Amino acid sequence: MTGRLRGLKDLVQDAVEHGSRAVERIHRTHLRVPYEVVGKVPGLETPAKAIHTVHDGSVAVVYGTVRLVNRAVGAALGVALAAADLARGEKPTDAEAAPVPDEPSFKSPTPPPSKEG
Amino acid sequence: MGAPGWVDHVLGALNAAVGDYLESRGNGLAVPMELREGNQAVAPEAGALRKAFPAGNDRVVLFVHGLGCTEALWAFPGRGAESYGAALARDAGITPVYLRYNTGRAIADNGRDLAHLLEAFALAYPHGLRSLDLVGHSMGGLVLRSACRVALDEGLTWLSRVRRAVYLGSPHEGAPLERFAKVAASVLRVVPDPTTRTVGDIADLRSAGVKDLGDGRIAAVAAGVVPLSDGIVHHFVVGSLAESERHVLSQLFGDAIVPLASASAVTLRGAGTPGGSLHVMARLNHLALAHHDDVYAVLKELWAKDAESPGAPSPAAGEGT
Repeated sequence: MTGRLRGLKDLVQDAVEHGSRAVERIHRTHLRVPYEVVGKVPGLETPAKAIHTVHDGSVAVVYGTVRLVNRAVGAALGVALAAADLARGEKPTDAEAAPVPDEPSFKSPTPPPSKEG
Repeated sequence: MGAPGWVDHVLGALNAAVGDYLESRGNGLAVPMELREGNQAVAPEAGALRKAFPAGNDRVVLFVHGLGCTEALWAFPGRGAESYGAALARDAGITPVYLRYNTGRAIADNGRDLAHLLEAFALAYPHGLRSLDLVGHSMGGLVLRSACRVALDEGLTWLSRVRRAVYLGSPHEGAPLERFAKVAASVLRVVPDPTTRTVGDIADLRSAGVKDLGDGRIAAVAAGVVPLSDGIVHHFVVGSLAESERHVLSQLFGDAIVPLASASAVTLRGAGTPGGSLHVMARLNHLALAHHDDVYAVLKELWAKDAESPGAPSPAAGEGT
């Protein structure tokens, strides 16, 4: 059962990781336009560029924090699930290892055939 | 056949969407390929098979569900565990076996694993395996064809036991819905806007299994059109939204998911399949093909000959066309 819980945890963690990167990319791209417009006003080039840099840095920190917390929570849940496995007398499953199915399953014993046509 | 719980249904749908990703990440939510009986997985070993099928016989029918489903798909709505398999066991004396698998994987990958699973099953089956018939709904039919192709290439023994295959709404020649999704994702990704492009990226996250359905691709490589297996009588059951297959609704949308031409494999059926048949089921949608009395009537008729002469079922014996 912890195999599925761990899988759910990994899936949510992946979704937050990839989702935050996608949103960050959109965020940065959309905000580039007004800064570019303001930067074309004579006398505002330097302040616009400076503010844009500070803003980009802030965006990176915010989204980076989201991902950091995501990983920290994921790691904590991973430890909790491993502890649950141990408490049930089962060998903890490594997060990167193949999951241990609850029921017998079948995997092809041979590599993919190379035949074509 | 027992009833899978809601978790199994959710996992089935999740695997359809991102099953290949789950598998590549070693995620515990990836559904393993399993033979099922009574809502339990059955290992392809003599002891487990004897325990799971204590009253089994030498005539087995394998049922393979389609995209995003589990073996619960086969149950008649509101009739408990009654299904095509249970009904055929009663009326034609066969032993039904159900497959559950990760429908998000490439069809060729599932076909390869199924081919080897069936080989292990055939070797371990404790009641002797005189015949192994195949019934696939939607993607399940393509997985069966892929498994037969692997069995032929690798000389697996179970293929010689297969007499007939029945395809229920399988998109042998592709599904336009998936092709539309492919085009939509491509267009969205071309638009020079980050939001639109991201939506396109998300739309393109469709699993390998779903993408295979677009072209009815059952081989691991671009092998062109893969013919139907020789030595097997192929039967096609096709849904039609309207009363008549000639109705514009049926012509355009088939069973609402798969067009009539694709499900009836018009370009494949021409060669090497004597005795096969095509059945167009009026006013039946795609999912209903897996659990409807009208479809069962067709299956019952196909297997009726075996019940009349159980001693000598022979492959390609000229079944009704």
